[in-house]
Amino acid sequence: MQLDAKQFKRDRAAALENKPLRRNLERAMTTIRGRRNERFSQFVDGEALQWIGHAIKRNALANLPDLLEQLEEQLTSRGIQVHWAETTGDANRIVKDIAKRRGVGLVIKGKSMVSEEMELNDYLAGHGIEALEADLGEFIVQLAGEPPSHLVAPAVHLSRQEIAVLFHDELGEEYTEDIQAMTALARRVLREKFQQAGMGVTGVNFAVAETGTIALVENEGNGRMCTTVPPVHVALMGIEKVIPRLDEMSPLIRSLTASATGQPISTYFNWLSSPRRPGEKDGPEEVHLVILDNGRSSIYADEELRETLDCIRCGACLNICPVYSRIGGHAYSTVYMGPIGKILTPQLAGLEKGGHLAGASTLCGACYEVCPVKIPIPDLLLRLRREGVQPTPAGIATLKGAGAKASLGEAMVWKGWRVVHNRPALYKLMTRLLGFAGRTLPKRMGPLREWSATRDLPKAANRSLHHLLRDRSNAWEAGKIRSDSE
Amino acid sequence: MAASNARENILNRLRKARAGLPAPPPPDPLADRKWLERQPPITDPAGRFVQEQEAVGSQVRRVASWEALGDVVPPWLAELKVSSVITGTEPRLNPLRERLEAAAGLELHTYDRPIEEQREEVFSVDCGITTSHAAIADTGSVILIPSPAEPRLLSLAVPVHLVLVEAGRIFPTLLDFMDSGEYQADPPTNLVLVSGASRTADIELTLAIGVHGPRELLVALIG
Repeated sequence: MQLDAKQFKRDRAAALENKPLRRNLERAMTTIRGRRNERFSQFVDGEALQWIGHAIKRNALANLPDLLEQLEEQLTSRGIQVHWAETTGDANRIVKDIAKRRGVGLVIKGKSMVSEEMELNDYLAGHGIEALEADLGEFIVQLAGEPPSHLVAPAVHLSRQEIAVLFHDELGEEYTEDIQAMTALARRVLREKFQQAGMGVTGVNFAVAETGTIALVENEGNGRMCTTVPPVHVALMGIEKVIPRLDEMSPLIRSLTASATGQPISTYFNWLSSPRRPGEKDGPEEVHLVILDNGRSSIYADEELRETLDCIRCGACLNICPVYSRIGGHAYSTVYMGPIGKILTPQLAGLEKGGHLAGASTLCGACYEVCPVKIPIPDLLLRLRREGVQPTPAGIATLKGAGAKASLGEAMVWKGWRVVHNRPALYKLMTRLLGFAGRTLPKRMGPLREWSATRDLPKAANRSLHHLLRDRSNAWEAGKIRSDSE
Repeated sequence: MAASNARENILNRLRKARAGLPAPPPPDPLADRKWLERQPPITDPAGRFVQEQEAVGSQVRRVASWEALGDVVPPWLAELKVSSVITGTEPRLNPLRERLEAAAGLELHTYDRPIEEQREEVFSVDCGITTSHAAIADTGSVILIPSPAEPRLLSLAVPVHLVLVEAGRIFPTLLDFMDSGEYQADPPTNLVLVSGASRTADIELTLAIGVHGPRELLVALIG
């Protein structure tokens, strides 16, 4: 995936012209938004639930280093091995080393966005280890050779016909568009793989510090399979997933599933706290937790930007976003797409590479309204836009690439704007000139060409508001009119 | 090893970053409780549990007592054309096992050895029967705590899972179960909340049942 502004411009334009994609997305996003809204409408004061989630995550992050240590202590005391990774490269090596030591040739995976961040599958393939996705949506996009296009529904950009063709071509099965039949087919293929795999890899939805619990939220049962059948389980999590207390999962799981799919709870909510103990007849002999930083501790250092780390990956901001719901997840060329991706990616990759993403928003605020932990995404988008064009003030200079998008031209324009607006005579002159230019100059020229290609340029009036009001007040004083209401 | 440096580096960075910033006020530990009290009350936990389970397609049958299971379960499984059943070694199931053993056309298996020795058997049986630790009314969830007597795959590898739930063990909400402290006292290897049969909506957001776990969840509500 190529993260750059020009590529994004091309890809989003192509996505907008892609009629099948637009159709698939529109249908899916309408459905999924409806499910979320219906669930929230059944709550008495759903917004209060969002603020509860907000407070829990704010508090958890404020105590993050202590909670991570407490989690490690709890997990270690029950035999789960904890690994720390500063970079995705470190995390990949940790997973590979465990696999090599255990002689693993096949890894079976539950859904994990951190593993996408690590590009784990490609890395393992480079070391002769096959990694197979077991979540149905991930299984589909892996067959298609694509990254997931949505945080919760990875294959949401594809229609059933496209998936049917894929299954027919890649798995050599009889062509069917029947969704239940396609699901049964994936079940059959993956059943065997669960039993052959030497290692299961999953993400983590919540890690509870007080009890040392790794919690996984899922509907399919692939997460349970990955954490039960193979002899080794490796869980991957970003540092931000830890919360202090068990009972804090109560509002968070309710909010997460309501926001993601509209369910009161997921089909499976799976709590793990140790490898197989003596006497137990199944479950992995070894359990590992890999705790990944990959730039998160830099985000953490800024009080405002830190809220980015509150995210519980429900996908509600994608579903409601007027941009995501028209271009889908692939056009961004990012691991994390949609509104959350637009604030997270520039911080992880640096503003010089990802700063343009913060611009791809109408700032309508819908993402903030639905966010189960109330991340102020529009405020953060504005902050990142500002950081992109002006270097960070001293003291909180934590953003990679701050000021990378600053251009002399833009700086001059704003400087000029300030000068003009501070001097009445200049301002008067400017409005007169703009009025004249607006009437006489061709509509599609210079810097306006791109903007006006898809929009109508507003028609400049002959006389400015200033002029009109002055005329009016002159007329009033001369007794020609009696009051403003006439 | 680089890994030990990583730990210190990450923690140091976080501590250093935190030092300069004001801590937010701690959250109200009763916030979720107060929120739940504002929701419509759950006057009949068993009734609500059944309603929620049925809403996700589970079959629920009420059974008067543990003893009565022997009359209810064999014909139920026959209706579903189940031809083989597996249980663990939980003693409370012994009377039921006797009746299952006597039932015509039903093969009875026991999961009593490590999975490495029993894999093919466990993955080929039609139906697994387990007890449950408790249940939750407002989400319609069964709480399973697998044990040496009732291993994890009994409720996972099988196409049909029959779970026994005692009506007196239904907590109104997940928070009520958490507040009981039963989990925190000694966290088990695995606890799983099960709310229906395995499902997905990954193709066109259309519901499909039975992806990786059971296609059918049967709940026998005792008492």
